[in-house]
Amino acid sequence: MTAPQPQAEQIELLIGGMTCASCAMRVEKRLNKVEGVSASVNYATEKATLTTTVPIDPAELIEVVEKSGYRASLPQPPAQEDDGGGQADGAGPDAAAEAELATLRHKLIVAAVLSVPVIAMAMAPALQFTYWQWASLTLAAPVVIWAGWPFHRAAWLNLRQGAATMDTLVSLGTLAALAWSVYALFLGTAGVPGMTHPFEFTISPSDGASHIYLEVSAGVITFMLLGRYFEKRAKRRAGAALRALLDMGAKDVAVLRDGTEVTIPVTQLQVGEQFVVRPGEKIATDGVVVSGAAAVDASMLTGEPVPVEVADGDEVTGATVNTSGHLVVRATAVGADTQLAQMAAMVERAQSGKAPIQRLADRISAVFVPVAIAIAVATLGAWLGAGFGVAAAMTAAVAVLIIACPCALGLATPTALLVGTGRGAQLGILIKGPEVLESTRRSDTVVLDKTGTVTTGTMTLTETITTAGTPARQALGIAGAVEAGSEHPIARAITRAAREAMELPQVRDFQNVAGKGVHGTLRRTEEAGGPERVLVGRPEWLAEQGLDLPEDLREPLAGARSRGHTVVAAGWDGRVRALFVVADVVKPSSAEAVAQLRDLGLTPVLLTGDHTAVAEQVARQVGIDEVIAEVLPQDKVDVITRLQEQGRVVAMVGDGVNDAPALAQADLGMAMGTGTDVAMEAADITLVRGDLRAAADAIRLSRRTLGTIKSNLFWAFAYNVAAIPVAAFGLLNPMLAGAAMALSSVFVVSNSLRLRTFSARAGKSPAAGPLSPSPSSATPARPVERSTK
Amino acid sequence: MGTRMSTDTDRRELGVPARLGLYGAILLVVFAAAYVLAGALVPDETVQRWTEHSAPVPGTVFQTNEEVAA
Repeated sequence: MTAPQPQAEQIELLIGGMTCASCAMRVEKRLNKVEGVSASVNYATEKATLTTTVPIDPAELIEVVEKSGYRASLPQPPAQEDDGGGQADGAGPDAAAEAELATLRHKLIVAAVLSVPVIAMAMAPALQFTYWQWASLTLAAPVVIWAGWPFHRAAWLNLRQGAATMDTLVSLGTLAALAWSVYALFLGTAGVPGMTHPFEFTISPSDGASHIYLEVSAGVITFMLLGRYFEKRAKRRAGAALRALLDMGAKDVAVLRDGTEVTIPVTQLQVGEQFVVRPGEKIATDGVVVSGAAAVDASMLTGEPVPVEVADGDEVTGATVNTSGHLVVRATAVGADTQLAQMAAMVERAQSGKAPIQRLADRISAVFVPVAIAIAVATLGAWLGAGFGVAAAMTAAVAVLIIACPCALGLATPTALLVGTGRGAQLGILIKGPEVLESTRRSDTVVLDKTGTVTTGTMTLTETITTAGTPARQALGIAGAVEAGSEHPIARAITRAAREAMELPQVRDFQNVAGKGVHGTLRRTEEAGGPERVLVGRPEWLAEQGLDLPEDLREPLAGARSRGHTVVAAGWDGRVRALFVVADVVKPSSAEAVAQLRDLGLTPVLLTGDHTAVAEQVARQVGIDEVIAEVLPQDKVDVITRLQEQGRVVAMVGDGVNDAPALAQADLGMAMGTGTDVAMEAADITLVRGDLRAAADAIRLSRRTLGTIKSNLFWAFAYNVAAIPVAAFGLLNPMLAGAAMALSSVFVVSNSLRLRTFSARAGKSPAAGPLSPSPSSATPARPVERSTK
Repeated sequence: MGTRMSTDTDRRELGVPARLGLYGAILLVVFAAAYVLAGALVPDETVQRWTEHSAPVPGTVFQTNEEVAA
C-alpha cells in the first residue's frame, strides 16, 4: 500500500520592504528553507507565491519573512464583483506603491531643500559666514539620518544577510562623512568660529580635523533619492494585465428563466443556465449553443480575423463577439473556470515566475564595497604602522570611505532610463522599466505572432478572377454592392475594395444565409442593365443553388485554397461569374523588419494558430525559416517555455489576448500598440504604431540605453576610484571631494542626454533590399484582377 | 524579463556568520600586512615632514570674514 500523495496548496503573500531584486532572492531563499514549501518571489509585483505540500499556517511563513527583516501579509480577499468590478485585483499593491512613491517624493523635496544651502556654503567661500559649519550640520543631519533612512535600513538588512549592495555603499559613505564631520566639529578644529574651506584644489597634506564633508553626505543622499524616485515612478503597476483581461468579459447577461429573459450581472450566472446573445453582443461565458446560428468573432482570443460559424451543439467561448445571428447558449463554465479566467491565471503565473534581475549597480557594489572597506582598513594599518598618530590614520581611513561613495551612482541608471525611455516614447516605443534592458542585450530568438503583427490582421481582397466574358470591374462592383449588407469581415473586404474603385449600385431584397453567403437583387436601370438576382458566398453553396463553377475557374479556386486563402464566389444568370480571393495580407514593412531583427542577431520564428500552409506562405514572404503553426492559444506559452528550455533567450512580439501569457513568459515581451490592452499590459515594451520595424528599433534603443547606463556607472565610479589613492595618502580636502561629486554627476547627465540623438528606422517607407519578397509573392497594393480566356 | 537570471545561485552555501567572520579575518590580515609593510618602507623623516606640514600652526586664531575684511 503506497502513501497518498500530499495535496499541494497554493499560498500567496504580499512582501513589503524590498528595495531591490537581491532582497527578493533572499526572501525566496529563506522561504524555500521551510520544509514542504516551494516559493517564488517577484520583486516587481511584491508577491510571494508558495506551494506547500504539508499543512502550514500562513502566520508561520509571515514570521519567516519578518525575521529576514521584511514585511509580509496575506492578500486582502477580492471585493465583491458587483460592487463596481475591475478594481479588486491589484488595487491593494497599487495603492501601497502609490503611498511609497508619495513618501519618497516627500523625502526628496525635503532633502533637496536642505542640501542646496549646505552644498552652496561648502563650495563658495563667500557664503561661509561665521558659524556656517554649524548651520551646515543642522541642515545636513536630517538629510543624512531621516531622508537617508531607507538606505541605512536596507544596508543593515543586507549586512544581516552578509551581502553588500548600492545601499551599503551609500550608507557607509554618508554616515562616515557625517560622523567625521561631527568629530571634526566637536573634537577637532572645524567647529572654531570663522573656519573656512578655501577654494583650492591643490593636493597637499592638511589637518583633517579641520575638514567637514557635510555637502558630500547631504548631496549623495539627495541624488540617490532622486534616482530612486525616477526608478519607482517607472516601475510597472502590478495586476494591470489581469485587470485588462478581466475587463474584457461581459458585464451583464440576458438569462432565460421560465421562458422570459431576465438581465442579471454575469457573476450571478450559473452553470447549466441558458442565456441569449444577440448580434453585436459579447458572449457572457463559455458554453454550448442550444439554438440559433451565428458568426462569432473570436479574434480577441484566437487572433484569427475570420469569424467562426457556430450552430446547435457548437462550443463558444466567453468574451467573444456574436457578429451576426441570434444565439441561445447553455453555460458550461463560469467565473474562474472560464477560458478568460484561465488565461488571466496563466499571465499571472508567467509574471510571478520571472526571476528578478539584479541591478547592475548592485552587482558592482557587491564587489566594490568589500574592496573599499579593505582599502580603508589597509590605509589605517599603513598609517599606524608608519608611525603616524591615530587621528591622522583615522582621517585618511575615513576619507577613503567618504570618497568611495560615488555621488552619481544613484543617477547613472535612472537618468539614462529617463532619457532613453523618453526618446522611445517620442518614437512610439514604450519601455516599461530598467529590468527590460538587460533582456534586449541577451535575446537571441524573436517569436513573432502572425495575425496583426506580421500581417495586417484584417481581411483584404487580393485577387478578382472572372470567367471569360465577365469584366473584373463589373464583377467586383456587383459583388461589392450585394455584400454591402453584411457585417462579415470577408464581405467588408470585398465591399471596401469595390467602393475604392467605383460607386456601387443599389440592392434590394438583401438576405443573409448564415454560414453560406448572401443574395440580393440589383435595381435595374435602363442604362445599367446587368443581372438581377446575385448570389455571393461559398462556391459550394452557389453550386447547391444551381450556379455551376465554370471550368476556367476550377484551377484558380484550387490554387487559392492550397495557399490557405479564403475564396468567395459570385454568380448570376445560372453560372458562377467570379471568384474573389480574400486574405490577411502581410504588412509592407514586415519583411524589412525581419531582416533588421536578423541583423541584430535574433533568429525569427513565426508562431500562429492558423493553418500550416498559410503560416508557411507568410513566413516565406517575410524571410522567416522557422514556423510553428496550428498552436492553440493556451499552448503559445508552452512554445515559449520550450524554446527557453533549449537555452534560448526569447523575445516575443504579439498583439492579441491569446498572446498575453506568452508575452509575459518571454524574456522580452513586445506588444503591438494596435492590439489589445491585455497584451500591452503583459508585455515589457509597447510598439505604439504597430510597425514591426519598431521592434528592431526598440531593441536597438534598449541596447544603446543599457550601454549608456554601463558607461555612466563606469564614469560615476571612475572619478571616485581615482580619488581613493588621494584620500589614502591623506591628501583629500572637501573641495576635491565636492569637485568629484559635481564632475561625475555632470558627466552622467550629459552622457545620458546623448540618447536623444537616437533615430528610428520604422516609420520610413519600406526599402527594397535583398530580402524583399519576390514580385510573385509581393503583397499587392491593389487587388489583382484577371479574366480567364 | 529573464526567467533564469540569478546572480548568486552560484555562490557556495556558507552561512552568514561564517561569511562575515571570514571577511573580518581577511580585514585583519590586510590591516596587519599594511601595518608591517608601511613600518618597513616609510622613512621616519617622511612622517616627521608630513606631520609638521599638516599640523595647525600654534597660536593661529581663526578670524571671521568681517575681521579679515577689516
